[in-house]
Amino acid sequence: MMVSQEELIREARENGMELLPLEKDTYELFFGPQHMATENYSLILKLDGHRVVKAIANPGFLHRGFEKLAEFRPWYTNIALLLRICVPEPDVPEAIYSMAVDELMGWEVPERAQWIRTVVLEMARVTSYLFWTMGLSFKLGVYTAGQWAAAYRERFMALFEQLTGARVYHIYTIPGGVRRDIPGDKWLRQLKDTVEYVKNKLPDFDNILFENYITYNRLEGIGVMDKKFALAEGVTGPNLRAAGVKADVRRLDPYLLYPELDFEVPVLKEGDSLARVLVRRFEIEQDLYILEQLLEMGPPDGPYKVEDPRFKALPRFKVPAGDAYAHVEATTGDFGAYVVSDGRNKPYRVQIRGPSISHGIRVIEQLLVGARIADVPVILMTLGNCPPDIDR
Amino acid sequence: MTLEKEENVVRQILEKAPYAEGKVRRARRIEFHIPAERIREFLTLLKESNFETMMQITAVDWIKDGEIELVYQMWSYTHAVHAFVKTRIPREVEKAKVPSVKDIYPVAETYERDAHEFYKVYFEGNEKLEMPWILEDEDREAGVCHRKDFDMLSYVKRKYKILDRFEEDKEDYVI
Amino acid sequence: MSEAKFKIAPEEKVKKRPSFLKPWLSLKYLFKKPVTIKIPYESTQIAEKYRGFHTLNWKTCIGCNMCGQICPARAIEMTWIEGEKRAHPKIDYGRCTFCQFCVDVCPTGALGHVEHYILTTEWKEEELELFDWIPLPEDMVRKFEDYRHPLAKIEYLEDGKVRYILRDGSTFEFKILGYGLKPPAKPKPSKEKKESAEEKKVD
Repeated sequence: MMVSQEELIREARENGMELLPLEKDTYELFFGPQHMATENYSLILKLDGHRVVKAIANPGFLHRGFEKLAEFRPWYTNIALLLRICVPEPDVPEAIYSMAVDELMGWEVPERAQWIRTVVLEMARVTSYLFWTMGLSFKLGVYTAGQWAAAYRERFMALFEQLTGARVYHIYTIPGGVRRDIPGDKWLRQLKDTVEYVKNKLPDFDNILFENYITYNRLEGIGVMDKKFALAEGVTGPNLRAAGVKADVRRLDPYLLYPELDFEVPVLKEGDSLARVLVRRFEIEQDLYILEQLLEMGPPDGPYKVEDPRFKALPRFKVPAGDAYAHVEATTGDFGAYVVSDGRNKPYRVQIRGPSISHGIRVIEQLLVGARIADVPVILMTLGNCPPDIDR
Repeated sequence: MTLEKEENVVRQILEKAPYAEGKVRRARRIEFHIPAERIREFLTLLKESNFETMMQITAVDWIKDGEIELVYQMWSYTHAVHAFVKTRIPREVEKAKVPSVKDIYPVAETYERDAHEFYKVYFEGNEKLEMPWILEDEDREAGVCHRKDFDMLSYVKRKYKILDRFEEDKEDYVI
Repeated sequence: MSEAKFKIAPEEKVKKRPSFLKPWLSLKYLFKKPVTIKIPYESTQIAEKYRGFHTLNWKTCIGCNMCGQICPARAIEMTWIEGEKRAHPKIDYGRCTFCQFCVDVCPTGALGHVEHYILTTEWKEEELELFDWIPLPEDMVRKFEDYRHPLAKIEYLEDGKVRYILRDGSTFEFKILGYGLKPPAKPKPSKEKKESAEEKKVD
């Protein structure tokens, strides 16, 4: 005879033990942190067969305490610390911190430095999109396209090495300008050749990944979100554009040289995974086009950093009291920084708002209901989840 | 460059909320100061005036004034303007309580979990505050938080047992 | 600056059509040369100003500790050496992030950097000592053409003496008196005078 759950629980409680009831026919799966598909992030899934019934986000494996550490170091030193927050795109935290401190200081960044900063940010966007293509193709099973993307990204790494001195962690954009000058006209010609080379290889990616019948079958109609849901849940970046909202920080809150550049912004209506992938594919082309326009403009003459006598004694550099907010369009979304100063030589409070804090917690918990196990890493990748943003 | 659009936005909101103070800081940045009891009213008013998303809730610990300042960062896609909404609440752990706004902006649930874990601010009405967020269990029970009176350096030295180059009795690490 | 217009791309440019036949076109890459560079056997070219190890000009360093204050990882400690009037920085590569802020902030330009970056050891105690050194002058570091660290061994002899053995056999010796910002206290001669005075009295 089958004993029911209530009888078992009652019996256990009479004997001093506590039993928790389980829902019918479901089992729990820890989609854990040591998984290549989730990039050091974990989800607790309740499954019925191979369909997800409930998902709980479990962040916290990459917490290093950046916001508290930044309060004990002088203003300039924080650049070497804060850029380790976002690994695929390490120029973005440098740029937002420098822009916020520039606003507090009240000085005007020279034009050559603005040109160089724009070129560096656009190159970072292209490398981050190639890195994303590698991740998407590995999770779908089309390994060839991923290896190609990693190889083309190497050419941009070599260009970064000549400009800034390191391949991945550049430590190049500082409050007041940039640290070094462009190493001559040869570098500009190499950048132009690289942009031309990658542009000619994009149809190959289309053949194998973006126009493939398998990709369409796996991605169409999965993980749908509509416009109202996206705006209420704080979704930003390409995910919002795939849901039908006309939003781009480069046009709504312009910074650096973007008002003088000409590019198009893709907006689709469906809001499913396929729309998010196609929006990002279109943006790679537009970023390469922006780099061509910048190279045609050429760098303006002048100094590459603000001339200020305070640079002689950097550890005692003081910033006037106040607060400032700066944000930038990154490939994952809308990256923002809020900096508070009280007049000393160290910050009083630094807060970095990564875009994944809204994508990775509430949105993924609601989008995963009804999906299959094989769809879970694919939906995570199309949202552009970057777990260090959540944990900081 | 004129600041007409931002001044219009500030004026429209201040007409409906006489208890608030507002001003324009520069192009595309405006600021409001409100008392702590009126948070829910004011944010409902902002939502009706087309401020669609909340970007972050920041908690700043002003230890000399004895208060914690909560800054709600709001962004509007229609007006293209970023608004700081600032309130102040007392600093002691029993008195730092604020009503939750998660039914007006659903994303505020995550931001409130963050402010609760690191600054011990309690948001009434949010059931997810007891769920573990980022810190590990042993750290949370030892009272680790990012307030200014918690001595993080001696806690780290005790836990990981390394003799560091930082001096315990010096508050200022620039020698 | 004038505001540019917000241009939305038309949907036909963004959407694509799936097909069965197009993936077969990528078979042409079977017949092309691979782009892999096999690193231990071939080598790549490192950029000119790559951020690598440090060099120090012992004559112009004034011991101001600007490099120590700005280091984000606290990798620099000032060391007092016999025969030198001011302290010199000692750098620990276990902590260093190779950001080169110390090179930027040095007021006399004594601290510099080269593009060498290879330092590999096994987990033996005497080899791990190599990570903690006072940088040598530039001509001694640049003598070697490959990108490896110039030192082969560091020996700590008795009485605070240190000997650096470079990879081609030459040595470099000096004596360490103490660490920190304040000069180490000299042994007081007045104590000996006092003792001899007491002994005389007792006698």
